[in-house]
Amino acid sequence: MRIAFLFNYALVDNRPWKQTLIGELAGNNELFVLFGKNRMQDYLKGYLRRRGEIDVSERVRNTGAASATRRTVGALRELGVPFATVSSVNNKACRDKLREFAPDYVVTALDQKLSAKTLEAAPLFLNAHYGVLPHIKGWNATEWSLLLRRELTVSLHRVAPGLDTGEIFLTRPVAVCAEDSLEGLRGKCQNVALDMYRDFFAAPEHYTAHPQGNEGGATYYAMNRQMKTLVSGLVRAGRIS
Amino acid sequence: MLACEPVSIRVPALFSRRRSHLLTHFIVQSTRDMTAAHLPLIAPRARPQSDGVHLEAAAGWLMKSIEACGGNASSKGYRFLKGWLPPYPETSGYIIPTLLALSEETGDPEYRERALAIGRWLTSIQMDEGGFVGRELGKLDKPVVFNTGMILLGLNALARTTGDDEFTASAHRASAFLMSCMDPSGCFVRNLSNDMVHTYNVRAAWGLAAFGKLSHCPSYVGAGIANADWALTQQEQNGFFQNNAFKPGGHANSHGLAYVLRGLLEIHRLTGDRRYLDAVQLTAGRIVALYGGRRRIAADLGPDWSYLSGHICLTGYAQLAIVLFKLFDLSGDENYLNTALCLVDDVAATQNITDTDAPHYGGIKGSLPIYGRYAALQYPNWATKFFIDALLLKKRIWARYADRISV
Repeated sequence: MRIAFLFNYALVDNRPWKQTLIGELAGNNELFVLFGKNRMQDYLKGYLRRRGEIDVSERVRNTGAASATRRTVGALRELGVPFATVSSVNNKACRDKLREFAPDYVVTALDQKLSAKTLEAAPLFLNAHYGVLPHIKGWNATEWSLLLRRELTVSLHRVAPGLDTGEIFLTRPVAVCAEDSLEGLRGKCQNVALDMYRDFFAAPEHYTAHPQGNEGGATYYAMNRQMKTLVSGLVRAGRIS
Repeated sequence: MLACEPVSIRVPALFSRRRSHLLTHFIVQSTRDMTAAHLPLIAPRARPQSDGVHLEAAAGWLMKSIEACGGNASSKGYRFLKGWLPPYPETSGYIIPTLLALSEETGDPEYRERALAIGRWLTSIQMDEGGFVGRELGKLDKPVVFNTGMILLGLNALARTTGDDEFTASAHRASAFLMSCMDPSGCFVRNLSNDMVHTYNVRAAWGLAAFGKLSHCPSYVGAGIANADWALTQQEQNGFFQNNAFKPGGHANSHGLAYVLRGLLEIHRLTGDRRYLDAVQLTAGRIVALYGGRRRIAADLGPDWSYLSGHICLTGYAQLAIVLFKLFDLSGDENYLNTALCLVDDVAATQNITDTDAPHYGGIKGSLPIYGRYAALQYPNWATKFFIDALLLKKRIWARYADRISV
């Protein structure tokens, strides 16, 4: 299989799962990694935006990024996986790079939406959504799932022009216990997502043949601090199934 | 002719110590706001304190605005190089319900006393036609629909609370004046601010319909409904309202938009007519998505919801929060609640709650940055009024919601 990875995260919290997944897939597949952000001002904008929504230092602490000893680029060099950078995931250079590689699948970890044009550059873009689809779409999906559904799942789905609207290939529950913090749950979601990608790439046709619909639900936005406190209370009280 | 009680305004002398203090304050505020807007990495947004701290400071500022006018009216605001401005009848009128709510919340009778004093002052300046002057007292000599409607909301609150005939009679006259300004379609066409039609006058129609219910006068209710129906004809499919600028050639802004939404929402609550609620929800959905996607709502908005200004209108934020809290109360949709909480936090983060001796302590700026076009370089009294309303509403709604979720 030819698998591309499209990243542009301004934060480093998902670095461990990226390196693990790429390392595992590198032996039997042709891989290509594309970093869709290379200007300092874009990283800064992304950071400032995220800073308003999350506790960055707690996220890094809880998801193990601090213990990752290598930058992803270093790991790619060691594995011999080719990579490139473009200034935006939605520009022509990005589309050209993707078309040149001609991937079967594109694994995404992004802090922005992909344009319809970019989505035409490969047959299937994948995203792991850390919330209950089809009900909870959008930002802080983990928190909204806990508040409104009292459960947490991760879904592997097609990236479509809407936000978290593409068909669903795989869904797995995430065990939530009273000791979990909201940022800690993100780490659990990443581990579940890693397992899902492993399973998906072991037999992709099996999962894409019978996708689940993703219609309905609602889009939610960055959750207010008081509502997050309420959600944390629900977790601590063991109110999540 | 205006029958006006004297109000005392202290005008600062040139180069006085007080004037130097004012100058320093606004330079510091402007620099701080500019840094926060353009260099957010080194000037992070302040985190709000408890709502009680913000409420107490805001209520204190509002009372200072009344003291500045001799206790009978509220100053239009506190402004760069001018200090406290003259009394503003319109906003003094709709501050009355806020003062009554503060009295109920805190148990402090002083708020109620100030509300009554403002009510009596307003009845004393009511014009022969039944309307009230626009702008600051003494600047215009003709009655204006919107200003009359806002004062009517205050008179309604006093008539309901006190049963005093003085306020009921004044409200009747104001209502008759408002009806006389409508055309057969329900649109207010006479005695308009800047001589142009404004969709936001539906907030005056709310005052009219509310007094109709209170006084059992179906004609007032019918007139209020007629204007609400006309306002619906101004709504585009994307939720935007036409004819909603304050001045000729101006843009619609979040402040005026919130006036429209509140007017329609309250007329829905009075009549039960679902069409008004649907219209409000259509626009509110856009507001939620705009704020959620961009983490801010520009003061000036285009017909396609494009952002036409770099500054935000803090008054509009507080007003929109009120509308969204009320929509959450009606619908249970947490997206409304979440956005309302964020908007209140955003306003609270701009409030000065540290310089207890400063005249602007507890007040809310017109714009962020303070030099933004909307009520530039000032703390208008209505910004603080709507912030207090939003905090009081939040307290009630959040307590109920948190209890329900935690059970």
